Amino acid sequence: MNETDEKNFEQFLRQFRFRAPAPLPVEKGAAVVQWAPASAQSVSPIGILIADDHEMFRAGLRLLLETEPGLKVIDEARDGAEAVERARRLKPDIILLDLSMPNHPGFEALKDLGSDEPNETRVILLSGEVSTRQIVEALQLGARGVVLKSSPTEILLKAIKTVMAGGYWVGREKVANLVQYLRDLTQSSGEEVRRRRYGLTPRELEIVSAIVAGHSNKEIAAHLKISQDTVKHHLSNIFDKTGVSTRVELALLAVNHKMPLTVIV
Amino acid sequence: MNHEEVRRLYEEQGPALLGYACALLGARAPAQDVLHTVFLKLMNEKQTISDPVPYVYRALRNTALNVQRQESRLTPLEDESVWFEPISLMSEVALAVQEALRALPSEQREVVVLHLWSEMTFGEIAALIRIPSATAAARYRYALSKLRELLRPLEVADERN
Repeated sequence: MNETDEKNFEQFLRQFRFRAPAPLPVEKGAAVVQWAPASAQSVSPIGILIADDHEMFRAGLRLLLETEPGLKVIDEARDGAEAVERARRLKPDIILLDLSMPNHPGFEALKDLGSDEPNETRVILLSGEVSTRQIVEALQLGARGVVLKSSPTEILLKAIKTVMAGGYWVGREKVANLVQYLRDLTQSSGEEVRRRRYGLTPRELEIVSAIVAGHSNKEIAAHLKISQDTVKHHLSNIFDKTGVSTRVELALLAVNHKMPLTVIV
Repeated sequence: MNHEEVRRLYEEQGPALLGYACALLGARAPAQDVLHTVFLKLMNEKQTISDPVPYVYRALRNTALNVQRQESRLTPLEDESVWFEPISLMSEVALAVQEALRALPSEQREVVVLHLWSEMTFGEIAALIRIPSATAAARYRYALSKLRELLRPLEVADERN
């Protein structure tokens, strides 16, 4: 392995981050009582309302949250309408609101809750998948966080703590500056987008999108109605422009740098 | 150290230390137990610790090796729990990296995790494990080369299509 290869490979490996450990177990002995996180040291725990139409999901989430010191699930709701009614009655600190419930879905509930004054309840949207447009809409409607249901528990706990501390959380990270974040999300032109494109042509971006979607050269050739040799030629140019040397690294780069990809099914 | 200092150390160093414990023990569950043991002891430590990061790495290593010696009859551990945070679309690759790490000889795995994820220099690794710095560097090169070999099928699965 030459030096450049080695550095690229090291960079590839470093992309993977070790998952954070679970919080330290709180022992009954006096020495560890003070260990409990700041949220647990307050007089009352953080009251949470879970709103999701799937009973098993609600039950699983309740179990997870109730093992965490400082958190208390105060009630559950099966749809958006119930969530709004219970939120107004019980005034939870946090609502974990499913985006896609059958009656009165998450966005409708969010709109209703957003119009309540005064409103101390903070909403974190939970979703199986979410588009950039939906994130923007959710934040504009007053949601304080958006978390994917496939996220590890640690992410949800961090999101709850961040939101309770007055911050915003989207996906896997804390949002330090909401205005800037929304501007970045909605920006569709300008220097940043040009930089994220790495000088790739629209056709090359189509190829990258297909790589990210996990397609082989053969499938890409069939999809774009070009020969496999042409796909390889494009790939070679893409590798040159982006400085990566493998499909895996390319996919990671595209995802991590939010390249403007198209949806390939 | 007061509890706030220990808590901050746990938050800042926890993922990298857990990765190191995984590298030593080959599985996440016992690795997390060892990490908790070390930090719970640290909370009750009355002595002043001037440089807590190297201290906690050494304590973690000693505790993990003790556990390994006591439970050696149970090896190899068949733990399937996931070491890395999932990256969108890359969870299979993350698992492949985990498996490749587990396939390394333990002394190479230890060095590669310390250098890549704990960002230690070979000198720091040498001091921690008590080996010459050149040996740490050599173990790292062997490990990297083997990882590359193990992960190569992923990179080029398609080039033959």
